Amino acid sequence: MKRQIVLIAVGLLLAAALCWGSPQGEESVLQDADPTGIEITYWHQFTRFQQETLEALVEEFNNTNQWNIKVRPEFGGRYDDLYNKMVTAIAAGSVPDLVAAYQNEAAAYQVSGALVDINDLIDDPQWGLGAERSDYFEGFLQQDVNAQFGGARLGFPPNRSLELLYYNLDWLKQMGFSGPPKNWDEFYQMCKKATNPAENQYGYAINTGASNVFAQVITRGGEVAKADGSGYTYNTRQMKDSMAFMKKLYGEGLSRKIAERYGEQNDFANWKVLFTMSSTAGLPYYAKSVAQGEQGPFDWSVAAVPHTTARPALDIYGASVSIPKSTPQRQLAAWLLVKFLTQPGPQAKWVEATNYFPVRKSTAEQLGDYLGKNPNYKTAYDLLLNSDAKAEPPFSGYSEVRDAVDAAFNKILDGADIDATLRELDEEANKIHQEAAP
Amino acid sequence: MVKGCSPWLKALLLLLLILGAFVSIIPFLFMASHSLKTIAETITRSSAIPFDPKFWPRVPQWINYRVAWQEARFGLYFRNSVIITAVTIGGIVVTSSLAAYAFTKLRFVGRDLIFSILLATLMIPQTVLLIPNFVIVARLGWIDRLPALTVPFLASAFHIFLLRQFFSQIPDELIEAAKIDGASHLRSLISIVVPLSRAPIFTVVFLCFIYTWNSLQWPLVVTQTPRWRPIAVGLSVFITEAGPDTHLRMAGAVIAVLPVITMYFIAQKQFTEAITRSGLKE
Repeated sequence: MKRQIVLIAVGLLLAAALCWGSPQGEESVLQDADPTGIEITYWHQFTRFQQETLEALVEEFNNTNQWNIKVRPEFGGRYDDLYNKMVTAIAAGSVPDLVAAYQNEAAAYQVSGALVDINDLIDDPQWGLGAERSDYFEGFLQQDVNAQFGGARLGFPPNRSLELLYYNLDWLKQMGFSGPPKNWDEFYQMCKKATNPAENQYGYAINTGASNVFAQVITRGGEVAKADGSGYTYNTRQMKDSMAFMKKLYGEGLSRKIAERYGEQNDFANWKVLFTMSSTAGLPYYAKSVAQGEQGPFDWSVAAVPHTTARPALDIYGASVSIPKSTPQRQLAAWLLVKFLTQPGPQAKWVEATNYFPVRKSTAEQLGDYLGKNPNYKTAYDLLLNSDAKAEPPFSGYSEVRDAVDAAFNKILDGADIDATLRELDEEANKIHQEAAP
Repeated sequence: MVKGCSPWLKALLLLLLILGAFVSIIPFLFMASHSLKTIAETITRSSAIPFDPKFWPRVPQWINYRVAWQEARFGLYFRNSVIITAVTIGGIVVTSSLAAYAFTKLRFVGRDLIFSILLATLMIPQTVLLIPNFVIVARLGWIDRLPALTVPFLASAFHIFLLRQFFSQIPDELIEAAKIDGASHLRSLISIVVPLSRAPIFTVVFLCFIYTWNSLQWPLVVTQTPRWRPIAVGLSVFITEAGPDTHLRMAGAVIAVLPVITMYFIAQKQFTEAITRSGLKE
């Protein structure tokens, strides 16, 4: 709701902002631009060791690029704070040259026409990706193409992560299973066998967030949005099956809602829960928790979310970087930084510091023995190569839709009728979509 | 305590109050105890009940505070917060006192109308004001400078309203007597009204302190470097994307909240008195 208010405020102030801020109309984004000596700013969301790594990479770029471009990285707050900062900056006409943004956030910025269509940069004969393009994971690149804006590319991925199933292999073996579940029926059986109220043990820690819902729906061959960007599809058979399955699991006491943020990691480390679903970005945190758990270290890993599709279907996510409209020189300078950050060398350094996935296939060659030393990361990386990766809707207003999905999931778990709740959710999501449309 | 009640009823009320106080303090105890645990203890020895030994660390890890202080650059942020808060409080007290005095002790055309308009501004959500305020601050060239963090908050309709309620209880005869003795309005405000309004002014100071000390969104919007960022920004460093560092986050929270608690204990008497007399709640 807060974001809706801000969006409305942006709309009201857009005209004023354009009067003194926006310099470029419909011209080409490069226009024989010369980026020599340009100084630009990059608003990011990283803190602590991630911030240190990013700043080191930017410094490397500053010291080595042939155009003497200088980039100033600035921490703009975590995602929500950064979003508010950016919305405010758009209205005032004082945007940065590069900004971290989720796809739906970039779409919200583009409602005001604030971003560069990166297709123009990628395809530029002089400055574009050229032959290197095939080295990028196409699924990652497609995530930033937004049907709501006629296929404009509103961001570019510096890294990605996946939603995967975390499982306790030692516990599974104790119960007589050889490995993680491949489909939802096996998942149910394992959860049932693991649940022991006397020992406070249960099968699965439910995350009611929209990403988790999406991850379940795609494993049943469904989608939550129309491909042409015209709306959401939350009242589908796959969605109903997903909700019915989770409701059954929850109703039989085989799963519990996550009550404390990241509390499921502690339960996992202490053999209280057999399965969780989480981002691959959590791998180092799980490793740390397991190493410190009550029962000491144990054998655990990650697997594809159980599926009924032929190949595993995995939810890919992660913030991209967007280039706000400024001058052709500044836009080009920002693009050159993005290109540098996605070169295999910098990507390898970024992977080792953050555990995110690289966006280029050839990065694996640069990772040396990192994959060997981090078997769980390698498992996840192999899954990436052998699955159908799908992304959540990149639409403007998806942030509010996510809240609605979370609320509906909770209502269903607490006893609400699935058909009625999903019908209402579908209506609400599409209403939000219409309101937030460009 | 309630007068004329039976001893049993009094005891029951007392018990309820103690229970309420205990429940209220649990989150603070949780924060303090977890700030002193090892990372392993935050995973394996966690409880929400203070009577449970798992609630407490085996050996207090004071080093968590040092690590949190260094990782979040609390030294710089702490200094910034102190300066920002001091300037803002000083401004609020001066402008709110002057305005409240004018609205109660001066008679001029449209006084009540202006006050009504001022009160109406309380209905505007802060989120809606974010963009206009930013545009003004940006056009003044204050981005990433101290004035951006202080000047927009040097006057507050709520605090004017709060002080006006108290100032209106001061008899006009006192002001009239001072006027006969040759005192100007400013002299009357400084020598009569302010000394009689210590409790509400302390309340204004305290409320302003909490608001300014805890603010995060506005400072992030109007700053680009750590140069003037306040302590709440430092605390946000511990909000990670995919996992907890609970011990460091709690240590950071203790560092950030300690000045607020200290301030409350200093101003407790005046604050309680002012709230009781006005019946106000925020």
